[in-house]
Amino acid sequence: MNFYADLPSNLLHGMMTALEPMNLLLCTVGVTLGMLIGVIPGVGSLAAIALLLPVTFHLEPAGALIMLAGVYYGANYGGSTAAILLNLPGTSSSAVACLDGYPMSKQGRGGIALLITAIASFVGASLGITLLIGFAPLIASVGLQFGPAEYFSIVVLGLLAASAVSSGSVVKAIAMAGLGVAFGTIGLDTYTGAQRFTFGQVELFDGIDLVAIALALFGISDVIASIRDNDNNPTTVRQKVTLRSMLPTREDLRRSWPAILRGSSIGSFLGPLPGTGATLASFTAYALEKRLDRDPSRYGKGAIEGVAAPEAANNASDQTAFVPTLTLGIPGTPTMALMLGALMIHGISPGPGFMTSNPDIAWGLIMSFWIGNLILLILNIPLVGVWVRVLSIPYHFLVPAIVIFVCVGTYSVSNSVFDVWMVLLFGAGGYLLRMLDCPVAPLILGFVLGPMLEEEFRRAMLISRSELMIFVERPISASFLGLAAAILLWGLFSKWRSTALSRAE
Amino acid sequence: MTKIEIDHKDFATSLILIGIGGFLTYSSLTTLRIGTLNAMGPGAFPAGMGILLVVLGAIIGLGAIGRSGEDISLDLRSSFFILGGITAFALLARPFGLIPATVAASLLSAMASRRITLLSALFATAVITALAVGIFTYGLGVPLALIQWPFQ
Repeated sequence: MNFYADLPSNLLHGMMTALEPMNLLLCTVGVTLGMLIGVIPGVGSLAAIALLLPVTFHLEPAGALIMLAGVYYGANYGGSTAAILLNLPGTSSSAVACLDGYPMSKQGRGGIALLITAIASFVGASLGITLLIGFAPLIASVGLQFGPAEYFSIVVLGLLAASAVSSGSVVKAIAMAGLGVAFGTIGLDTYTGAQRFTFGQVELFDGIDLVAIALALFGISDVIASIRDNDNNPTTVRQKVTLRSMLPTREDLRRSWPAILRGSSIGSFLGPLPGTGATLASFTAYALEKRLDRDPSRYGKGAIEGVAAPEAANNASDQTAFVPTLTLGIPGTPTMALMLGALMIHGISPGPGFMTSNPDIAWGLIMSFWIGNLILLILNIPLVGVWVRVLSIPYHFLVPAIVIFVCVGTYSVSNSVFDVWMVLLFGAGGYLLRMLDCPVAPLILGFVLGPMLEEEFRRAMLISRSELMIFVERPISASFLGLAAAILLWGLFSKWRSTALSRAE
Repeated sequence: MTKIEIDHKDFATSLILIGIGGFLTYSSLTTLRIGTLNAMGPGAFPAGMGILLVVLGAIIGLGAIGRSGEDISLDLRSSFFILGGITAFALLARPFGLIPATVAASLLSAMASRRITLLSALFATAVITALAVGIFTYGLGVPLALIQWPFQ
């Protein structure tokens, strides 16, 4: 297995890249800003990454990715912090942290929950990174044998899986992914150079700018949607978090360890599966802990395992989610889609050859995950009290700040006022869709994956001489499509069952 | 006559999807080359996506009939001020420069919240403008005049 022969030197090389002073600084800045933005209610890691995307354009590709990755897990931790202390989840994956974290907080044990969360995150991330290192070269070597049919099928699988697990109606989620794919066709056709839906606008020849659409959907429409809630329930921080209050008891640690290890395993396993993401990982881990416990009634009332396991799971899955993104160039979640977009803007397109052709960036990024998590643990945890003070800034101050950051940030990408108008259009549209209970996350995934979907389909048709059976005749492609169908049916069935149950009550 | 119940949210979603999907397919068929399956033209894929959107829209729309749902409740005030802020920025940034555009956009979007007072909006705007100039003009070197008068 020659692809493991270079592993030690790659790891060393990656560690050196990650430890370069500039990259170390960017990692710290990323984690810190991520936490800062992540604690703001209603602003999750997606919005945090989107907000900082324009800033990273001015950096080297390796540094840019390292910073964005730092923002990613910093924001996730920040989200958990808001969930535990205020019962306000920033993201769906940290919603689980509310279940037992907030009760702990009310019992005055919020500090302990925060520390256990940090430890669980670190352990989960470490296991995830180890598996990422172990499996990425293997999957990349398998990916080298993929043809257009396999790529087409795995993109279909990713889109359907992401839609099936998102909350609410599965059909609406698929429609949103389709809408994203449709918006992705805008611009010049790669094969013929024909203008598609550009309405003669030169600015649209390269398609809609990813930053503009991401900031519109996750910055602007999010903000409009959360103003009313914040006007009605202004947030107040009741608890002071001091270092002393974060010290767990021996009993807490004894209960947490096995939960953390179980959570890490579940998360690592679910992470690389397309579309599943951290939300499914944390909910599954929580459900497992509750089932394994001799006394399930403790859950929801401040059981420490209910905080430890899901947090370990979602961080482990955050790391292993990078496997398909880095090795195949196929992001499984909207957040990964943004990371992929960031790479592509720097002129790098990840795929099976990425890890061998750009070892500096790939391994530097992977190693920086560890450093970033370590920075999170030793630098930022003691400062949790400071981040939490962000929550005492009234939301109505944050609103104009976010709007300005989105406007100037979008403009700065290519000095284009046109992109700001796109933010206006998609911000309004995204808000309307949100209010119609349409999830906008699959839209961004479809937007990023759409061009790939079309190109691979056209290539497959060219190679197979327009034989549609190519997608089911090739075994790997057929199994991807089979899995997609199974996930779709399962998603439809479980939604149908839950509505049937709620009607029966 | 009994009123037929309808899930407004799903029905509106359906209309949007059918509208966009229909436009996509119609525009692809009329202005772009479709080609053959072996050598697909630029219009083939968008036309297919359009049909898919129409079908999904129809499924959602049919499911919405005969079922009551929550009313659509849009926060028009917040939408107006936030979107107005973005519009102000887009209109003012090039001719007048970063500072006037930021001040106008910040003041407008601050009004989106019902809890804000004029004084705190002014205070927030001052802080945000200073930050924007610091980060984008001096930090990242975004080429946008700070302030200028376009009419000579």
